[in-house]
Amino acid sequence: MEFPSHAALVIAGHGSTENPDSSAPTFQHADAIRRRGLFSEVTCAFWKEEPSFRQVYRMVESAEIYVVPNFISEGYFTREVIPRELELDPDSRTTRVHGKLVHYCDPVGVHPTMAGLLIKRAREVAPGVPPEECSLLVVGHGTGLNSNSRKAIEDQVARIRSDVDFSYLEVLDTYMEEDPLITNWQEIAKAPNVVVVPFFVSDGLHSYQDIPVMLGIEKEPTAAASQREVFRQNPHHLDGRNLYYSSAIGTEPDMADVILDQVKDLIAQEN
Amino acid sequence: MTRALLKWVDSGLNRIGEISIIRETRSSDHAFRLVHHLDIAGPESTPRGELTPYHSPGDAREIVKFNARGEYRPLKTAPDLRRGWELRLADATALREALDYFYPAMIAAWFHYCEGRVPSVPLRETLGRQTGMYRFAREITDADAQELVANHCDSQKGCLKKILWQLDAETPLSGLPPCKHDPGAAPDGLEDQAIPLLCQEACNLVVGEARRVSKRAAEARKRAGGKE
Repeated sequence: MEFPSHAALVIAGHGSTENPDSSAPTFQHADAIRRRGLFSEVTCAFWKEEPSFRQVYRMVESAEIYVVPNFISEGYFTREVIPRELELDPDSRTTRVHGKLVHYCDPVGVHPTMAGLLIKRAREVAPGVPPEECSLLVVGHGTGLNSNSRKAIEDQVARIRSDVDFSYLEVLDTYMEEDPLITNWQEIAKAPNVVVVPFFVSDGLHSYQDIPVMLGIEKEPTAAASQREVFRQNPHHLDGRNLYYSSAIGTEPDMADVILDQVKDLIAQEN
Repeated sequence: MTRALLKWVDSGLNRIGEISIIRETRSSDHAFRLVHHLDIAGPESTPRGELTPYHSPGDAREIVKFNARGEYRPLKTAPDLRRGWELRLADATALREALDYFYPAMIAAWFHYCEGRVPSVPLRETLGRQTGMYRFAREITDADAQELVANHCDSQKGCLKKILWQLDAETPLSGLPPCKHDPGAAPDGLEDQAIPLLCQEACNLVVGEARRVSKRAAEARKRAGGKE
């Protein structure tokens, strides 16, 4: 399928005023897509960093824009904040705004290809570990305020489970703030080897600093990933088991393809 | 916009924020060089051989991330860009990309300003559309908002941008010197040499601070009410 080379791609991320690593994967995926020369421009925009969503229309020169939220689920940001800040029609995929035709795609985290990325990441983080002796835990935020946060992960876990090539002992969804809580991983996972993949877009506060404490890898939250000299070494030996903790799924270089897949899907829908 | 940037630089606009833009000679293998302006001129300048060389526009993202004290810089127009580096850039496209990392959206803002198309958004309008945890930001009083902006947007310790917005359609900001609102008044009297950094709308940091101030005031009122 041909990409609209006359159009711009805007990757919309959350960003952070506190964590220096939050926006890095969004920029890296933009770099990777820019190198492929598929769009006239590739730009990032953020909620909590600059350029802000509000600034991005002034930066982009193309008359047509595809916006892909680099968010993990449908919810407050993808349905309320981004459409409001980008002045998008909430009832339409396409809005004409400030003389530009803007196409609003689904967030990366809900795309079916994310399931394959989770499996790939699990294999990379625990090489040589027999899958049948391994539990895979996908950990997300979860919040009682929004059921979509959980649904995105449940859907991906269901896809992994139904994959005929998936031979792990089990794959389970877990959460920081909802049951089953990742804090209880020792009771939840049955296998002697446990792989935990955070379903987050970056190694920010939650995946790098909070979850390691919940797993028992760290006693208290550490400095941000980029401010530590040594990245964590797997496996961690806890409770007589081998625990493998991955970096956030959003740091996977193949996420650039998921961003492109969301553009392709929207174009297919519109045609 | 890249063509316009090239024209500005060639016409002598060789400073943006804390950065000096140097047009290299034709014999050089790169067209532009960016350095911290204090590293290139004045009594505290750094010998070129002591500057760490970088070669890709993306390297700008690393240069801007932390200040000299190693603290994260969420606001790229804060006046604490670290020194000790030089970024060599192949062409005008690379220059534009790098400047978009150093000072996001600022080339675009100046471009549109020169074209007479820079709408500004009053603070009340920005705060008024906030939802979720930021909805409390709407409750900030005018006096608290004026004080907040005067403290957080001050060019010496907060942000280098020129503020184009008002408190609301009728009320100008009152706590900052007039030059803070004048795009033509550059730092160090460099009006003819600097591309101004323009603020068309309060950033997320100001909105977040407005939320904190209004929540604190509401809690104080609640405590005072409880004592009566």
